[in-house]
Amino acid sequence: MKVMVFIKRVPDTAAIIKPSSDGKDINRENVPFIINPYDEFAVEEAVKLKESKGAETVVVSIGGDEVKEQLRRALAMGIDRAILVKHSEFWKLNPSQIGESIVEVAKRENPDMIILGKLTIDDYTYSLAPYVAYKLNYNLITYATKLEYLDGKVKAERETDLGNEVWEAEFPVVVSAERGLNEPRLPNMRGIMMAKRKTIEEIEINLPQYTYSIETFTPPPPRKGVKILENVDELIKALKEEVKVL
Amino acid sequence: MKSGLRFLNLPADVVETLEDLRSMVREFVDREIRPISREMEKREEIPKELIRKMAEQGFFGILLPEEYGGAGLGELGNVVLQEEITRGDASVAVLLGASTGLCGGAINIGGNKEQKEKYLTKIATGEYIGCFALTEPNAGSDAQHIETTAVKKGDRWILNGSKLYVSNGDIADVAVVFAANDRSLGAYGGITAFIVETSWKGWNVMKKEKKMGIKASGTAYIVLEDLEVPEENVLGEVGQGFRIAMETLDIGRITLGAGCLGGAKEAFDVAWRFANERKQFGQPIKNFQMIQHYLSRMAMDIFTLESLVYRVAWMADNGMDIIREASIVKVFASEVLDRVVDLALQIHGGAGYIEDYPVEKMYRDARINRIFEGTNEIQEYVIFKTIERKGGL
Repeated sequence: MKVMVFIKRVPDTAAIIKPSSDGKDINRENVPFIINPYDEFAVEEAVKLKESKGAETVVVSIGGDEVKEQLRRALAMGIDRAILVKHSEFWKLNPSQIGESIVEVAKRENPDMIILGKLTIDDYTYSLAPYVAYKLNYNLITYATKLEYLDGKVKAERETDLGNEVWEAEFPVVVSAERGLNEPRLPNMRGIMMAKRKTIEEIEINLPQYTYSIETFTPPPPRKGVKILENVDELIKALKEEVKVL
Repeated sequence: MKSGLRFLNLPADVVETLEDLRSMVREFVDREIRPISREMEKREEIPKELIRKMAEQGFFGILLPEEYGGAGLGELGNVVLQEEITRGDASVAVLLGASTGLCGGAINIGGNKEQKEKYLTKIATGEYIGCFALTEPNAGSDAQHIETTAVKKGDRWILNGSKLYVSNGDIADVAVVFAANDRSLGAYGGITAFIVETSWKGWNVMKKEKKMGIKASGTAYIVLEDLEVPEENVLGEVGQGFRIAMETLDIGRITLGAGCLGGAKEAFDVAWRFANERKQFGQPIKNFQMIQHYLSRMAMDIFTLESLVYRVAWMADNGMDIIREASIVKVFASEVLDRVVDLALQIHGGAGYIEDYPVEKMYRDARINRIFEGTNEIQEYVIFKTIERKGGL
């Protein structure tokens, strides 16, 4: 079995984000970056598959040398090898372009399964998994909270507003990871040292051009101050008189 | 402030590995250490579960060679580890330092292949916790006059005496113990180091000390009573104990400096946050010149210390003589930490004296650094001796 995961380098969720000077993007200077948290579920799931089923694993990302930091982390978690689709300003790419680069790599790699996060916390488009599955003509399971591997197929649990569903899909399949799928491991020192010996292959892909872009970016309003109340009576009073929700 | 690593002209892949180590340790500290720091202090112990998790991460082997199960990242790796761990909890850093740096360090410096295979591999993986037993009730700074005796009987050595302030002494599986084999031969020749398994008869943990700070780190009083050590557990050669102790402690002083650096950065961060949030006279107190002056002094001290610690760790890894430099690190680092935690507490005002704020604990945890691993007074003596020997700087 061959499993491919896609990860994206995104600003740390704990970082304080300011808009860039042109107001169309975030200011990327002095911001710590991480693997998109939902993609990290995908990495963990692939590593678990490697450990339990001997799956061959490959991680893919897009960007410049800075993205190697995130690829190294995926390798340190246990993924076998990495592919970096080179792009100097990957944060300006729209989801279709990123989707197209995943499709191109998948055509080379022919994985039985592609796992990726249900969304990236910077874009919030939820669109990659459906796009990739459609373009590759793979089966699709979105928002998986539990995966079980049978011979040549996968069984997945999903939580919907109507209730829980259990799906089964044959390979090849694209799965998008939802929170709760697993608890991503912290790489240990052995993993970090092993990652040094693994390869990060760099490739170039001609991406299609699209004509849409972000017009403005405004950060969320700052949170209001916290008020500590002494007892429940005060809380009820505040909810009635100050916040007026009761 | 950029990490101190970036200015050492190291190969890019080494910096990469050390920075990956740093972010991994930082994340581990946030997840596993910070949330339980106060609880550990209250219980005066470090949970076995945390030790196990640190072992899994490979923290006990960062400094030690790869062939014995370590990561082979040398003192620079160890400095990164200790800096980040101390940001979360100083006691945990002491546990790691005493096991890997002191016990493992001594075996790495003095041990033969068999000893390293038998003991160092287990220390490097965290399977064994180590300790280092040198100080005695009547021999602190005057370490060469230890009174614990080692008498040869057939193919065994019999140890008798007592050891004071042994970090990890209460939980250790293995100890490096220093004893006088022949007092008439003095420090070099008369003192021998032994590898002792604490399960052996005659290793008695008499008391766990109640301390002012680093309360979760166990500090034990050990009595050795007719403790039999097999010949093959003599570390290095008979009579080489004092040299092994001094070389081990030289490296340990850099490690201690890294802990102080991490502690100082953490104290700065909480003070900076407080100075932004706390309002008096209708504005954040960081707007007041006195507070600005304090924060600037702290930043200057931290920058200077960081430059020093990373430089001397690099010197040690490159085989340079660091006797004077390690002593300079030890004195300077412990004084910087004391100054920084003091100002950080002062910026907090009354809140700094209250247990609800972390700076209260940092202040108490800091103080030991001017004392252990050789008092600052002894370090200044060492520094002077090198001036005298070289006839100047």
